[in-house]
Amino acid sequence: MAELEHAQLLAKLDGSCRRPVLLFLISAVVWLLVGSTLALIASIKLHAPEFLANDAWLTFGRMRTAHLNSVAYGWAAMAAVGVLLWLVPRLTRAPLRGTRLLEGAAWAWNGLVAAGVVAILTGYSTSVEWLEFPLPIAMGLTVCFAVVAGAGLDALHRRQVDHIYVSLWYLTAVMVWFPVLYLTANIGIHGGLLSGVAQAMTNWWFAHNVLGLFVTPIALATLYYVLPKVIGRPIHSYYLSLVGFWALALFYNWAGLHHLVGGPVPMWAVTVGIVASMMMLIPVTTVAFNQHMTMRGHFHLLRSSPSLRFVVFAGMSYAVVSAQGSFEALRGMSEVVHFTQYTVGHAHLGMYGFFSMMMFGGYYFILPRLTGREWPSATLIRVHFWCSAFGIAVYFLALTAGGVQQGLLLLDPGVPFLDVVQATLPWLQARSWAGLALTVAHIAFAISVAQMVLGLAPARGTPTLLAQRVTSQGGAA
Amino acid sequence: MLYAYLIVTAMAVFASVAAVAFAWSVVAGQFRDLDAAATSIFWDEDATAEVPRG
Amino acid sequence: MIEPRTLLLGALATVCFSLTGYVLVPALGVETTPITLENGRAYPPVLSEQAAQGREVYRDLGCVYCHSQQVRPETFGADLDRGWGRRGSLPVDYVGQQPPLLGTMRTGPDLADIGTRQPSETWHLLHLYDPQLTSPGSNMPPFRFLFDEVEGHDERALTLPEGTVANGVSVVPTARASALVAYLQALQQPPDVTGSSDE
Repeated sequence: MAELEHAQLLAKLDGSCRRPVLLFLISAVVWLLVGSTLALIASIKLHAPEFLANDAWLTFGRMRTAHLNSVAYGWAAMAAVGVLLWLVPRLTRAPLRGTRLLEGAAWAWNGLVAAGVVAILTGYSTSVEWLEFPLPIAMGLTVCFAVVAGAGLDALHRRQVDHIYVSLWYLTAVMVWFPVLYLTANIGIHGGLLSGVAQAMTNWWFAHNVLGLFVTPIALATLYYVLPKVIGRPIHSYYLSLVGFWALALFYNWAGLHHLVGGPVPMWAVTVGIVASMMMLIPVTTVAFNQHMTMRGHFHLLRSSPSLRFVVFAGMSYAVVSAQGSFEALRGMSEVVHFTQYTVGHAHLGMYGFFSMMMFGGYYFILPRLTGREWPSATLIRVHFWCSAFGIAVYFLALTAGGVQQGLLLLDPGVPFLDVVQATLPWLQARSWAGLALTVAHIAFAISVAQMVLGLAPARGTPTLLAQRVTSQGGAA
Repeated sequence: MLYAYLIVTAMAVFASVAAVAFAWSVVAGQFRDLDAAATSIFWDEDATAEVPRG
Repeated sequence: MIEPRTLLLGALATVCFSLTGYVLVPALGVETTPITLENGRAYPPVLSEQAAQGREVYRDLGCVYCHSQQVRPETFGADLDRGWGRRGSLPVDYVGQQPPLLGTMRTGPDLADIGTRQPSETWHLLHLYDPQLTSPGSNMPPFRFLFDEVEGHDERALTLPEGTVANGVSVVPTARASALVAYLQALQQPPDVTGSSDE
């Protein structure tokens, strides 16, 4: 009768987290659409400066910043929190408590991000990268996250399992890391405690760690959960995942200062940043190796499983973007590509090709289990996947090539600056087209999600697959 | 550069201690139930796997 | 097996370790007070009230997302050859700045020493009104919303090419435009400041 008990427990766990998780996940999709629109406007403005040029709130400096903050704190953070709140009860087998408080945190989070984006558009941005929201908004977000972390740690404390699964290490660490990072950086920078170069160093300590110690761990937790679950096989080496976790914890912390290579900051700090960036090759290799070895013999499942397809794409992007990042930190490489569109391409491969694709995989896995419905259309999923994959590939390749060209031209003082600008324009146009593809993908995704949560999708039966009748033996389905 | 040497050395010490502790716990059999840990996520198998079913 | 306590303390330890190195040590160790130059003047100088207002305009419009304010040292990159500065930038150049607008992109040129390179108020106003007038082919957006169109003649009016605006209309910079230009003119990193970026 263990099965019945399990089913009852499962219903209890899902019931405890359903409302807050759905609220976070749906809000995130709305912010993804908002962020995509702002991104497209900003991208077009960079090669067509007269586009929407008559109002201050539409100017590039504000559009770009509103885009970054709506996707970082609206889409990415809310999706990450939603996934975290779903994974924690599954992994601890303890129902979440404080559901109403969590729902309140989700609503407040939406209100705060909306207020922050309006603040940026109306000229109240702080112009500190990744920390543009004014201090009161940042403090509000900290409180919301504290509620989330409190609920997560409470469930961890009441856990009904002997083992803390690798995904849960990452999630637990995030519940410590993010508050420390966000609070220290906001109070230090906006609270008037730091100025000048010391403030710039704190800025990049935060801005790099919000990627490495917040979104990356949640994405890796998703990878280590969804991948084995979909293919029905444990991860290849559990030892290795342990090594990878601690190596990430130790080295990612110190990588951020490579953003100031060549800048007016103490040489020691930049050197440490470069060393730590290279050391990141260790945790990244462990993840890439583990993913590949776990997948081995199961690659044919990529043809049928939506979750697996997004998650594996994301895992591969993680390996590529991290290796790229390590070498990008080196002084010789930085001399060319720092200050260019190359960095923007790198950032999007990380936040989109890796993180966002991983979250999409999480959505495709989680939503059927929370809504009791199946994804309404395999075609919509296909449109989503291919537009996303194609879009981010074009985006990355265009800005990588364009950025290298831009960097090399900038190093040649014989080339007038305006010629450098002209050389980047075709690449920036290609980026706008890529952005359009990504937006189409997001619309397809949003339609699917809306049908799921509005009860328009078929009730739970067999999963919606991208291809039927495909098994390793080629047998009939 | 003094700080750089100090920090990188501290990192190396930290990593070495962690590596030794890790190796020691492996030898001491701390991870004997590792397979159980790795498979612990399969408890809630709720007809989940997105693989074509026959 | 790994315990939650180990995890929580380990995670806290790693982040506090880097917080010490990258936040606390610089906060206590990097130069935070102005220095006195050989000519007896304090450096960096305090911005005039108008230039300080202009810095706020620079911040709220997000200029930092396309323009860096940091000159690379002689052995790194081509900034000095491009005339973007007279020396590499030093920590002392940013003393007291909140926030320091170092920037990470060069969609446009570096502005750390723009006040020296381009001292003309007229040039800056024209460039802000329509970058194509001074820098054809630029992808900088026009900042027409920093200017008022007034009927009749005005002595502060920009001298624009024929046909840019209707006859009898003058384009006059707002206080925000004038403040921004005052700030740009004040952006200078003089060569007689010496120091090391390696402490």
